Amino acid sequence: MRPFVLAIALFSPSLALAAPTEVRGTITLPANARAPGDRFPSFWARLENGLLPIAPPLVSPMSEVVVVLEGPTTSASWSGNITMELAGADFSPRVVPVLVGTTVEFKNADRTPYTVFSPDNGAFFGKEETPGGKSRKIKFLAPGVFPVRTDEYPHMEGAVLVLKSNLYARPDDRGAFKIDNVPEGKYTLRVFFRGSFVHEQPLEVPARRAVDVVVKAAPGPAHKAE
Amino acid sequence: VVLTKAWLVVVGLALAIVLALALVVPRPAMRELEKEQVARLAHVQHASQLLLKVDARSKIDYAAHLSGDVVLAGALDEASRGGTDKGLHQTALERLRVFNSQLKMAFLVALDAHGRVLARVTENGEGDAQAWGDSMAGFPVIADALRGYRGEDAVAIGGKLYRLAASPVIKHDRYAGALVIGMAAGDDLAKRMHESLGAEVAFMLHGKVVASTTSTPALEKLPAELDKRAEEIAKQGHTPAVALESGANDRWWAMATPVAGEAAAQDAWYVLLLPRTAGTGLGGLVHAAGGDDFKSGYPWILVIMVALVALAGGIAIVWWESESPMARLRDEVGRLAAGELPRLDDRPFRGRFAQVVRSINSTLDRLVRSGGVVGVTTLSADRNMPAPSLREREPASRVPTTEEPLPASYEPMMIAGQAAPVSEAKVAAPPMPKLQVESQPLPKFPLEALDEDPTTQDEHLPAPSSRAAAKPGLPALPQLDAIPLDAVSSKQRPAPRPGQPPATPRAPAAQVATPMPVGMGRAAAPPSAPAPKPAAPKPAPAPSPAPRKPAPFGLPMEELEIAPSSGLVTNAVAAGPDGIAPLPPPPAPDFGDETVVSQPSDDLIDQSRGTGVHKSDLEAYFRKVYQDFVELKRKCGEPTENVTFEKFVGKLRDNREQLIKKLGCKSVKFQVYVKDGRAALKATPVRD
Repeated sequence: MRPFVLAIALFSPSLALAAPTEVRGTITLPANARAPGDRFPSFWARLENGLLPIAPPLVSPMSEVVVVLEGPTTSASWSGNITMELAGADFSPRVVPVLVGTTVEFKNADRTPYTVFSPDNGAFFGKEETPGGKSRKIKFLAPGVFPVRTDEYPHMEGAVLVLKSNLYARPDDRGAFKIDNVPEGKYTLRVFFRGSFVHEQPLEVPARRAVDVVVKAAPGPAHKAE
Repeated sequence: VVLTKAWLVVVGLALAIVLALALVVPRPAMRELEKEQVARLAHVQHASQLLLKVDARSKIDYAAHLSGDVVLAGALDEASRGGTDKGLHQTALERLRVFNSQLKMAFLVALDAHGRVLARVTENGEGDAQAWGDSMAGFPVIADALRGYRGEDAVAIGGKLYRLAASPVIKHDRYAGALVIGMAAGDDLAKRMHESLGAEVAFMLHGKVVASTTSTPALEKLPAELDKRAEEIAKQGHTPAVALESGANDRWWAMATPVAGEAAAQDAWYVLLLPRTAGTGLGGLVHAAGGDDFKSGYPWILVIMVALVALAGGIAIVWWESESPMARLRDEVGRLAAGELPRLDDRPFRGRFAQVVRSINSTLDRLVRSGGVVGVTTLSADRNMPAPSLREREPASRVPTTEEPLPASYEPMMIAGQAAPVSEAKVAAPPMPKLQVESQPLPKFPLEALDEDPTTQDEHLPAPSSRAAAKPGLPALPQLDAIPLDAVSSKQRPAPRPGQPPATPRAPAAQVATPMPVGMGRAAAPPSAPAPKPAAPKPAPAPSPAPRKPAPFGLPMEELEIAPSSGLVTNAVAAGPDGIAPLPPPPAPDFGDETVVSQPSDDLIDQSRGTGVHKSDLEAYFRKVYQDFVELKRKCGEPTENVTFEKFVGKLRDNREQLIKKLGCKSVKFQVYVKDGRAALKATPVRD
């Protein structure tokens, strides 16, 4: 395993004292982070071509990570729309963090229809075919994790992460993230990756001082940070 | 019939055992056979995995080989760098057509480095212009190929099952895209697998058959089995052998394996099917047996021999135990009925047949002792006439007289071969026919019977008390020849028995010739007695020219009425040279169509008795003579106290023996008559 190290550097103390602080850091994922196709072993394991080194995947795993700060006073909602596109037999993006009340539009950008649904949430997000070029909108009124699947291709795994606070961030391809306007207080930092929270740790945010966090996430269920 | 029953029991047990074996024996065989079939199916499943793996690898190699095409790589590289010229699409399309003209894949797809379709051709070489620009980067195998991996996968697209192989396309030092080849997992693949594995192959998607080498409807039952066996599938990677059947002739062993790759999550299976033996048990074997099974090498000879031996054994046992004794018994009884035999010989018979013979003989013996045969003869003459001797021998309280009707239940004993039905043989109490002794020759008196021990006298003899009344010291009887014989009047004769017609009054001083007892010789036969059948053996040559009829067997003397005689002796006795006058032949009875039961011959009667003359008859004869003599003395006014029966009989016996020894006659007849006003007794030798 080659854990990545998330480093959060504090900004200058003058800035921290002047405004609500921010939480910054870097998150590292294990190198053997499960790829969607890994769930379906075939007769032959994939073979390297022997000519060129293996390139990084087109869709970075970091695009499926969401860092969330959960505190007692955090509460927010939004009634806007966010689009999750279905293209090339894949969700793009694969994970959508939204606030409670947000409407997610599932747009079929392919020519083939997809039947999008959320397992165990058939009451409001049941199976319904979305033809090519059409969209389906679902409004999420409660916080939680809502996995998204299609009936056609099991490898298509997406998730809608409905949050009641806007204290969340999506890291870039290198894993760096930043959460602004974090009030002083005690929080729980949780890392969401590919459908579930894989890491959580307590985080005390002081007043007027930025917090740097280094997170080494591991696949599997959430666990305490090192 | 013991052996017959035993044989039937053996045959029944043998059949039961054979049936039990026939039902049981196939079971272990079928069990082993099913084990073999299941094991073979497991081997086939393992082989199928190897086959699909090798095939997948070959497809990867195809993709890798095609992805090295420089022209295609150049077009993809240009497209990956943003080129949207249709020329790139056409170039890639042409190259794919060239490739697929040889490979005949379901489709070939060329994708740029971003996973967008530059060109796509189908199996028939047609291009899909609309596919240009589509993205396929979401498929794992393609995403891996865009990164540099070669791989393969199986996935269901649009309701069809495809196996995909992808390889990166490299242009110089960068990835220019990927080449994907798709093969339908359809009938062609199933056929090739069937040819290689020797098992039926079916591909199923979402519980429906998408390709198969067999069209059995039994596969419709497989999805339910898959749901039941999810745990075993997760553990073993495939189902165990599942018995499927949709009919007696549609029985399979099925083993389903998830199709490797993403298709497994799409509920895609390939199923291997091996036919199960058509039914288990005896029914299955019979059903499976064909005409050829009875041709080559079938032990027909053994089967036929066993059947013939069993049949012959059964027939032999039945013949030996039943048929043969029955035929012999039938013949014996026929001969008995025909009068050829006095009784049946039970020595050749065994078991129940011997019991039957002994029962018949016992019946005959009882009839003989009771004079029942007379009844037979009487029935021959007049079937409605009861046997007089039978009634005579029975106690008076039981046997009705001829004057009173017999009870309806009273039936004379019948002898086998007697034609008269029982209903007709019932005693109807008709008048008793008179038996005229004058018309018959005197019976032959077997001398052997006279030597019998008097202690063996039968039950008809007087009671021992009466016999013991003889006291020693009694005055000796006078010489027979010296005994005065008084005239016998008819009024001094015993009263006729009830039912008997009144006797004809005798002439005074008529000589009373006491007839010989039955069994002592030829007794006078009743006029109605039938003539013996010609086939019946003649007991002995009759010296008398007159045809003689055998005396009714056991006919008691009491039934014989002595006809009055004008002389001292009866006509029959006085007229013959030996004192017995030949009698005219009795008129032949007209029996019409009635079955005639002939009188057994004397020889046969003697044989049946074993000792010749029946001792009781001789004693009865002596008693009769004694009674006649005493009665005559009483009539003549002579004292009779000193004339005891024992001494009288002893005298008669001694006299008889002396005469027989002296004259060589066969018997002696005693006559009671009145001589000079006194009762006298005369002995007359009988020579035939």
